[in-house]
Amino acid sequence: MPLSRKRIRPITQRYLSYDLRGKTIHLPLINIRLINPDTNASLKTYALIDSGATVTFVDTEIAEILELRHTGESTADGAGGSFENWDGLVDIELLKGSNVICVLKDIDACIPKKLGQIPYCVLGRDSIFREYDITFRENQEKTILRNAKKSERV
Amino acid sequence: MRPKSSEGNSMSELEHLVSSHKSDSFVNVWVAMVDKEVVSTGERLKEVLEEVRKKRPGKEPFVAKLPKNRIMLL
Repeated sequence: MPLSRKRIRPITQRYLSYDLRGKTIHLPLINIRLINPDTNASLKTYALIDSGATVTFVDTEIAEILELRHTGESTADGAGGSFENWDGLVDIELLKGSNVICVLKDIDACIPKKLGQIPYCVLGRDSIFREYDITFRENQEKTILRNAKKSERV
Repeated sequence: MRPKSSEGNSMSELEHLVSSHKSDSFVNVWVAMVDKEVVSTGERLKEVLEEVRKKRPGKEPFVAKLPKNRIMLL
């Protein structure tokens, strides 16, 4: 999986916080641009950084808009049960403001077959976590991304 | 060709959305923003993007959907 990145300094990303029916929601989100590697069609949105997800998910409607090519099928198991997915290749640009901080190439993402299975795109351990060591500072409502330390061969 | 990117900070756009509007009105619907302005909202992303293309041709929108308040465990 070829990856490229532009920055060395740690990147700090504030959680998104908002009030909903009297309760404040805090989410570790990051802005992304999803790109169809076949057509270069793209769409800017956000994704949840999720260390509990082994794979990356792209929202069903976004995948339809980008016309991501299906490369296979898979089943995702969550606490709420299983759901079926298409697999599809996508490039993901991580954004800080309008700057691209990293490009994740040819990510084999899961695309739920049914609408509403996931509330937003999810960056799992097969994408952003391969590129960055990520610290969740829950009390400060910040996510810190540092270039990943690669394992050394002995 | 990719549409011209908005000059604004997209996360700021999202933060702007939740701080300047009542978040409840955007829950579970697609919102498309250009330059911190809500250009279109709706239940289907395709229709929302069609409206953006009509109102702001050539501009790259930022799309978001605020999730419901629910416990998440993927």
